[in-house]
Amino acid sequence: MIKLSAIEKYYENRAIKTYVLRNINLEVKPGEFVSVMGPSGSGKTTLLNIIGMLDTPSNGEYYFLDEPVHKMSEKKLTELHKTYIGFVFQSYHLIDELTVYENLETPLLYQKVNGNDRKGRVAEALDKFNIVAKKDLFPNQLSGGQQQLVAIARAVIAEPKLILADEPTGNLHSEQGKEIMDLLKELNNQGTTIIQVTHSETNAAYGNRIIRLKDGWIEKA
Amino acid sequence: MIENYLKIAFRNILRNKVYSFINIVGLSIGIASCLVILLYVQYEFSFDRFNKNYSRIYRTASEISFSGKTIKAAVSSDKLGPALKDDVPGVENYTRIFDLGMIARQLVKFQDRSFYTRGFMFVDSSFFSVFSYKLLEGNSSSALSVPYSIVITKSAALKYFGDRDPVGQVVQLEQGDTTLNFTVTGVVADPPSNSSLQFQFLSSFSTLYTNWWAHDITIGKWGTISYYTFILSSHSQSAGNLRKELALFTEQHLKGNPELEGMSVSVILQPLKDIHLRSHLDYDFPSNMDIQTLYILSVIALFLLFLACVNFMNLSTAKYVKRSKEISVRKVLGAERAQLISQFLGESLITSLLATVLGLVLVELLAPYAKALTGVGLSLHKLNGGVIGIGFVAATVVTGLLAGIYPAVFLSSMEPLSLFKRTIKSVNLGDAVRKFLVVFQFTISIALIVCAIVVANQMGYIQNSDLGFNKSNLVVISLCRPLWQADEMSRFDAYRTEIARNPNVVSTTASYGYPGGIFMKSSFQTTGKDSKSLVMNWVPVDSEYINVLGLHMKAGVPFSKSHTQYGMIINESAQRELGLNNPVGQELVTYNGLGNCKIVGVVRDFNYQSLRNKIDPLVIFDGKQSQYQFLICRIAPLNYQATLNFLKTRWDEIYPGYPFDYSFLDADLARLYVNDGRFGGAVNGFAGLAIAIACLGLFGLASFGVQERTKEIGIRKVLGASVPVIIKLLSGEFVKLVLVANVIAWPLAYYVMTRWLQGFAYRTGIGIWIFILSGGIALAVALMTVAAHAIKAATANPIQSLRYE
Ligand SMILES: Nc1ncnc2c1ncn2[C@@H]1O[C@H](COP(=O)(O)OP(=O)(O)O)[C@@H](O)[C@H]1O
Ligand SMILES: [Mg+2]
Repeated sequence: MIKLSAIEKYYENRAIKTYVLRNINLEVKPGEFVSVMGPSGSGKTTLLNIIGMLDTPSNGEYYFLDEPVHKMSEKKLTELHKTYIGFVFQSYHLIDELTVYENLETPLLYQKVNGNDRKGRVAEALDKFNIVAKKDLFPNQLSGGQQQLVAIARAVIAEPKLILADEPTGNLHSEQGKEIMDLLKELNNQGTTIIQVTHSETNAAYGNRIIRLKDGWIEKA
Repeated sequence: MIENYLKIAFRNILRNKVYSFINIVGLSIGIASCLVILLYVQYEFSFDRFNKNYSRIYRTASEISFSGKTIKAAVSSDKLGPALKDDVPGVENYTRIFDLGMIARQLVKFQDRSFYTRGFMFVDSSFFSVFSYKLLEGNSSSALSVPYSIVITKSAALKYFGDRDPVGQVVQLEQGDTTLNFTVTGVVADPPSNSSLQFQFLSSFSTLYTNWWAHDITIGKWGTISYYTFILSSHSQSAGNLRKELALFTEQHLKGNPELEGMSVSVILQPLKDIHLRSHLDYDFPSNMDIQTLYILSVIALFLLFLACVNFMNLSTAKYVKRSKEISVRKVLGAERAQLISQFLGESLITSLLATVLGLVLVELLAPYAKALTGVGLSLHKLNGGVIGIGFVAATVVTGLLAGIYPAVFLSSMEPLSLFKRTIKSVNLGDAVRKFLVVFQFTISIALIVCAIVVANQMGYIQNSDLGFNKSNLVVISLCRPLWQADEMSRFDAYRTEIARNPNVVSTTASYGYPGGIFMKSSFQTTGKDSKSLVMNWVPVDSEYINVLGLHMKAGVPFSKSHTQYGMIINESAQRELGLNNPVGQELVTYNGLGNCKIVGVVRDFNYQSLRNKIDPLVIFDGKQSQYQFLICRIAPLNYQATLNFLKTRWDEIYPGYPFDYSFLDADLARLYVNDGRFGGAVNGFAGLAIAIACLGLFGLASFGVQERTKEIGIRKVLGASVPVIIKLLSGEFVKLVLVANVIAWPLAYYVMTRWLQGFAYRTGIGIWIFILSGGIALAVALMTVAAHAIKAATANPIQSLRYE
C-alpha cells in the first residue's frame, strides 16, 4: 500500500541544508498497524505528513497503491484525502468556528453523504466516543483531551482505509488512552491500516511493528 | 453543504463584530455612493425617452456655410418641416417649435396676475401626435390650429386661474408696447423634468405668420433659420436611409436656392434620444449636457465601490491568519478547491447582501444631498420594481465577487501544511498585496483632498477677488416695460424719483446690462488711416453708471448729467485691442445705428464677466434710453429688508399688475459659478467618502495587526519597552504607507488641478502648502485610526496578552 524508497527531507536556509529525514525505506502493507517512535525532533511528524501527502520529500520516491505520488494531480490528492486517509493531528486542528457536531459532520459533507445517513453516522460517533453531551459546544469550550477525542472521532467517521495518527493519546489520561487504543485496534482488526506516532511503549505495543526514528534515520531493529 | 457554509458565514459575521461592521458599513457606503451616482447617470440617459415614439423622432438641424465659415445650428427654416413631409418618403409627421423664452423672459398676464416665464413656445398642432406630452383638456388635433390659441400646463393653469376652468380664458403676452391676447384651448400635463422641452405655454405656430411676428422678423423663407423642426419617421424607415433621403432633399431643394442669399445649407439629422447628451450645436437646448461628464461620473462611482471592496479584500486576507487553520483542515478532510472558493465567495456575498440592504437605505438618506449637488431629485422610488430588483442583485453580486474573489482564490490556493505553519513566503505575498491596496486607497483619498482644497481655494479667490468695482449692496430691478414711449419713460422717471427719496437708496442708474448679465455685441471701427475694426461688447447706460458701480476711471471723466448724448467710455482692453494711444476725444464708427461717436473716457478693466474669461473689450454707451432694461440701486448696507419692502411698495403703486422682479448683483455674479460650486461639492463629497472608506479599512487592518502581535507586545513590555515605543512600533508601518501614498498622489492631483484651473483666466496658484495640508490630514486621520488600537495594546497588562496565547 505504501512504499517509501530513499526518502529524504531537508530544509534549506542560506545554503545550509538541515536534514530532517534521511534515506527512509519503508513499506506498509494493507492491514498493518505500525507504531513510529523516537525522541522529539527526530522527524516523526514530518514522516507522517509525507505519508499523508501533506508534505513533499526532498529526494526519493513514494508509491501509494503502486502509484507514484509525485505524479498525482491535485484532484487525485483531494480525492484520496476525502475518501482514503484519515488524519489525527498532534495539535487536534479542529475548526474553531464549528461545533463538535458540525466538526464531525464536515468530512461527510465533503463526501456528499446524504442528510439522514449523515445524522445517523454523526450520532453513532458521538455515542461511541462518549461526547453526546458536548455536541453543541465549540472547540474552545472543551479540554485538550476532549478535543483530542473529537479529532479522533472526526478521523474515523469517514471510514478511511488508512489512519495516520500523530500522538493520538498524548493529551488523554491513561484510561481514555486505553479506550482509544482499543478502538484503533478494533478498526485495525476490521482491516483499516494504521500508522501512529507515540511515545508510550505500551501504546506502541498495540501495533504489530515498531519503527524507531533517530535524527532522521530509521534505527535498525 | 450550503447550510454549513451559511452557518459558518453568519457565525463569523457575529463573532468578529468590528470586522463585520467595517466590512458591511464600508461596503454599504461604497454601494450607496455608487448607486446615487448611477441613479443620476441613469436619469440623464432617460432624457426624452418618455416619448412613446422616441426612437422614431429626429430633429432636423442645419449646417450653414457663409463667407468661409461653417456653423451647425439646432434650428432650421420654418419651411423645412412641411417640405420634408411632402417630399421625403418615410417622414410621417413633423412639428416645428419656436422658443420665445430663448430670447428673453416673457411676461404673461391674466387679469391682475402676471409672471415671468421662460417656457413660452409656438408649436404646430401635430406637436401632440409627434411627442407624448399628455393633453389633459382640449382636443389634441385642433387645440393649436388657429392663431392665438394657447395650451397651458397644469401648474401654470393653477397659478393663473386657480380653480376656474382654464379653457376659454384669455391670457396676455406683453411684447414691447403691444399686448397679444391668447385664448386657452387646452391644458397639458407639466413636462417631466427629464424633458428637453420645458414649456409652460404652447401657442399655435400659425400665430408666427400673423402681422405681429412676420412684420419685424422674416419667416417663410429657406433663409430664415430660427425654428426647431422635429420629424416623426415611419416604422419602416431607418436613420441611415433617412440621411440619404435628406442628402437628396438638400441637393434638390436647398442647393443654390436664392432664398438662402448666398448661404449654403444642408440638413443634419439628430435622433431625439441623442440630443440631450451628444448634441452641442448653436442654439441647442440649454439643458443639454456632455456625455463625457457621465462617463467620468460612472468611473468615479465604480472607483468608490472598488475602494470599499478593497477593505473587504484587505481584511479578508489579513484575517486569513486566523482562518488558515480552518482552510487547511478542510483541505485535509478532502475539500476541493472549488468548494473552498465557493465557501468564501458565499461569505462575501452574504456580507455584500447585508451591505446592499444598508446601502439602499443610505441612498434614500443621501438623496437630499445629491439633489443639492445635481439639482435633480433622485430617488429609488422613481425606478420601477424590476430595475430596483436587477440593480439590487447586480450590486450584491458585483460587490460580493469583486470583494471576495481575491481572498477566496488566494486562500484556497495555499498548501495545507504551509497554512498550518504559516511559512514566511505565504505571509509575505498577502502582505504585499495588502500594502499595495492601502497605498492605493490613500493615494486616491489624498489626491481628492488636494482637489477639494484647490477647488475651495479657487472659489474663495473668486469670492474675494477685487473685480474692479464694488459688487455689494447693489439691487437690480427688472424693468418690464420698454421705455421707447414717452409715457413709459415718464413712468420710469417717476419711480426713480420716488425711490430716491429714501435715504437708504444711495444712488441709482439705469442700463441695458450689468456685470454678470448679458451685453450686446457690435462692430466698432477706429477713424483715420490704419482704421481698425473690432467686434466688442457694448452696453447702453445712463450717466450715473460709472459712479453707482464704483468703476475707476483711467483717463477722461465719467459721464455727466449735462451729457453729450452717445458719449462712450471704453475699458482698457478695448483701448489696447483698438491700438489707441490717446483715446479720449477720438471717434469710433459704430454699427448700432448711431454713426460716429466720441470716446470721453477710459475705465480701468473690471470683471464684468465670469472670472473664467479674460476681460473682453467693452464699450459703455451713454444714452439709448429705449434700451434700458434694469434699474440698479446702491442701497445702504443696513436694513435690507425694509429697503426692499419700500422699493416693492412704490413699484406696486406705479406699476400695478407688473411683478416686482429684483436680484442682488453679487448673487447674480455668484450664479456664474453654480456649476463650479457643484463640482466643488461633488469633489468634497468624494474626498470625504474616500478617506472615510480608507480609514475604515485601516482601522480593521490595524486591529488585526495588533491582535496578531499581542504576544510580541506582551513580551516586549515584560522586557521593558515603553508605551510610546510600542505605539511607534505598531503605527510605523501604516505611516510609511500613507507617506508613500502622498508621493504618488501629489503629482497626480497637481496635474489634474492645473488643468482644471486653466479653465479660469483669473486663478490662484497651487501652493505647496495644499499638498502638505492634504498629506497631513490623511496622515492625522490614519494615525488616529491606528493609534486607537496601538494605545490599547500598548497599555494593556502584558500578563493578560501572554496568557491568551
Ligand atoms: N518548516 C521547517 N523549516 C525548518 N525546519 C523544520 C521545519 N519543520 C520542521 N522542521 C524541523 O524538522 C525537525 C523534525 O520535526 P518533526 O517532524 O516535527 O519532529 P517530531 O514530530 O519527531 O517531534 C525538527 O528539528 C524541526 O525543527
Ligand atoms: Mg511531532
